[in-house]
Amino acid sequence: MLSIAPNFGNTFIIIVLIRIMYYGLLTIAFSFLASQLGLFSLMVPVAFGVSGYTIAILETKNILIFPYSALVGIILALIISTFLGVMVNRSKGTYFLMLTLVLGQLAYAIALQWVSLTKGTTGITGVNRPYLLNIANLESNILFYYFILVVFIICIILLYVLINSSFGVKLRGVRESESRMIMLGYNTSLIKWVAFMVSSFVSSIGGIFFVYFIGVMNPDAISLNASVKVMIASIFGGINSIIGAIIGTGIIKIVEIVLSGITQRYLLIIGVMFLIVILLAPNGIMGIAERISKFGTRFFKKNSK
Amino acid sequence: MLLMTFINGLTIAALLFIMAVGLNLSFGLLRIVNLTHGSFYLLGGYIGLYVYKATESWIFGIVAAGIVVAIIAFIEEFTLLRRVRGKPTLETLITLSLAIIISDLLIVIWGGNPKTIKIPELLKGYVTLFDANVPIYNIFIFCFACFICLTLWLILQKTKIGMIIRAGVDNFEITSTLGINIQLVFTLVFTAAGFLAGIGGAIGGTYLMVAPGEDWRILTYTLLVIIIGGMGSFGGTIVGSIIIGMIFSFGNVYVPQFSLFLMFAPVAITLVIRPKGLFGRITS
Amino acid sequence: MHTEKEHAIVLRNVNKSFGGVKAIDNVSFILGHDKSAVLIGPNGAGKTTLFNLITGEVPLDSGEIYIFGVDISNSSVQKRSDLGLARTYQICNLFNGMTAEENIYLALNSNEWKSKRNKFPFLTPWQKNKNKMDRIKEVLKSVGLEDKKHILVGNLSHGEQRQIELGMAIAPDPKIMLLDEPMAGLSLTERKFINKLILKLAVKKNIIVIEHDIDFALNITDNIMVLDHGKVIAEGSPESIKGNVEVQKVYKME
Repeated sequence: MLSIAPNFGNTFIIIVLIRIMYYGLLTIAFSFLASQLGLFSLMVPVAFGVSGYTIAILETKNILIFPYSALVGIILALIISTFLGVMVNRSKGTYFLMLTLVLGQLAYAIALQWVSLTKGTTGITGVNRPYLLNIANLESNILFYYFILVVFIICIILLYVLINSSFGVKLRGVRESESRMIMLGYNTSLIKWVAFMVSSFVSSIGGIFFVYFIGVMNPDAISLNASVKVMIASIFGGINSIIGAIIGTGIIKIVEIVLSGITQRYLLIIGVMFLIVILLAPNGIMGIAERISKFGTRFFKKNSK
Repeated sequence: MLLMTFINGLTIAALLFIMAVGLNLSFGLLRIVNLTHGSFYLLGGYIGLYVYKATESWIFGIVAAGIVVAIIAFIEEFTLLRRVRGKPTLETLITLSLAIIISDLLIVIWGGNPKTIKIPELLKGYVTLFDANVPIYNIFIFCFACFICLTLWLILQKTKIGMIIRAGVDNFEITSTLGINIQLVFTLVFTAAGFLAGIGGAIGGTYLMVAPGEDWRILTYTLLVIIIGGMGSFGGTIVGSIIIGMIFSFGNVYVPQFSLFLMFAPVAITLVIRPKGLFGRITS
Repeated sequence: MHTEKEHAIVLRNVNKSFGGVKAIDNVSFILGHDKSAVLIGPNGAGKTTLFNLITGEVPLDSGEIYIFGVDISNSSVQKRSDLGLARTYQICNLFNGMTAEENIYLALNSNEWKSKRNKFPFLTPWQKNKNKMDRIKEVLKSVGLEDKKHILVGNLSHGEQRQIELGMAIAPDPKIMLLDEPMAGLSLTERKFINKLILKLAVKKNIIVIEHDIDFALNITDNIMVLDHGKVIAEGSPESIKGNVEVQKVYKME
């Protein structure tokens, strides 16, 4: 669906799809941890922010250009995630949620406070798209679109392969019973840390596209609102599946675009929607779809008898 | 300068204690972290401001803030959280979604500009302590926090409900065998925490400011206190508040651009050396 | 003097306290090369703790433990399972949200089952490991659940969960199995099934089983050990146990 859209779409649709994809990278990074390890990390956008800021700083100060700047961005994001991963490794459940919220908020506050480097609230402006995608008209958006589409699909395939590998089984083992995994002799800290790094990697790639597409990097990108929106999107779509995360991102972005045309306070409405989903359908859209399909098969079985 | 920074740190610590102690007790007891707590603080600030302006009584403002927020906390616990009791992640997500709703609602009602609550006449002025001019209001916040600390400590140690709370924090399973309506105790603690957050908001709003974003800022510091002090620990809350308050105050004076980097240090050290917090005995 | 190599398990003066309370008090015993044993004793006697010490899930305070002559007193859980030690738990601690197949898969964690050919463990689907899949099939068949391999373990009945628990212990093909009340809370038919299975296993393996049902236990072996307050108070054949004064005292008090 995503690949044929530009053929009949206009610039606006392409822009929306690009936005859905770079936020989608963030959402699948979140969803990967949530579905495989059962851990809700509110600091997933930190890696997104680190790579975005690194590129913005390197390029506006003429230190490095694409693709080296992006490479440094990813590496730096992974280095920082290494420390963060070690810090949160021993906690789970609600405590993990709280801890990642705090660490994410600290990262946000630092981006806000470290004015000499990040330029505070205004952020760093004037990040140009790299030469590879450097024509400022509709075609460039299409080029950008195909570029991000390819990377997006590669990331999804990567995660699917991981989930289906023996490593994926171990992740779910940790999710279901970490104590038993330890007793079976697995190094669960290492398993969790690797998963965390994978999630950060995907998130940092999202950051690259974000900063090149928008051209601006400011603290809002890693604010609590950003992390919460990622979580809402992921839960909306269904926390147990990557596809759900993508659908969820699509819905949230479209709702956001529609509502932001009407009111500044669209987060209020998204918050209410989130509350309703948690209370009525905690498994999200994929959960509802599952229920419908179960009902459907039962219905057909009954009728065919 | 050094003394003044220390006193400022102590004031922030006192404020954080008022915020954290209720949250930490409800965390220890219900095993969920109430992420609406920061919004309760900001809501308390706005209500305090509003009532103060309307009645010209600062005390009225403080009390009204406490009561209104307590009522909202009660409604939240009674109507929403009870529905999903036993699923801590869902409970926490509900508190998070409410926090988003409330913080946006506050912008709708009171706008996005920072406001300040004027210090009442009685608490204005300075006291000279050694070579520093200490605002009376700072001393008031500190004394008020001490008062709350002492009251709560007496309740926890001397009353039956205090005993139940301590038992519940210590051993989650035991609560069901005590033969009391534990749900009622949950609601009570949750509401009391809301009351303290409301009061904290009005008092803190007078010391700092009342503005969008303050809710998340205060929530972050409050959670830091709990992470460092230890979940459900009364003494840990005191120590955690002082550590964070001091880092905040000294960091702002000596390394203003990096004061928040300093916050990472105690968290990282605590998590590596004592993952349950300095005084924490219970795990999540 | 025996050489330890001839014995499956040797415990020498093993001690463990929890907060001042002696859970295991100077326990020594030897399980011969082709022997099995039944561990009985009142609740809180320290039976499960003894298992935890042998598997290494709880560290020793003092004493020595040998498996087939190797000193494992301070070895990791992993090292011990590589030497051929496996156990079941009294309370099922399974991966409820995963299929029966995946549960057994995770239990195959001793070195013998680590595939050497698989150079990209992150990229190959886990079902591609033929070696392991064959073993999983075999294990599920032996515990009678071959037709339930795609069902989530959380959805299985209590008896079937016990079978999975046993299957997870069998999976790495251990030499020594520690079974902690494998039949607790099962119906009569289920007990018979598990009974038969354990009998079959006991032929090839050294088994230590904690069991309240003495009749069943005696099926497996007539080597009984009685534990009370962390101490071995009697050891030997059923007759000698029945005649033991201390054992009578303990069981009269119950």
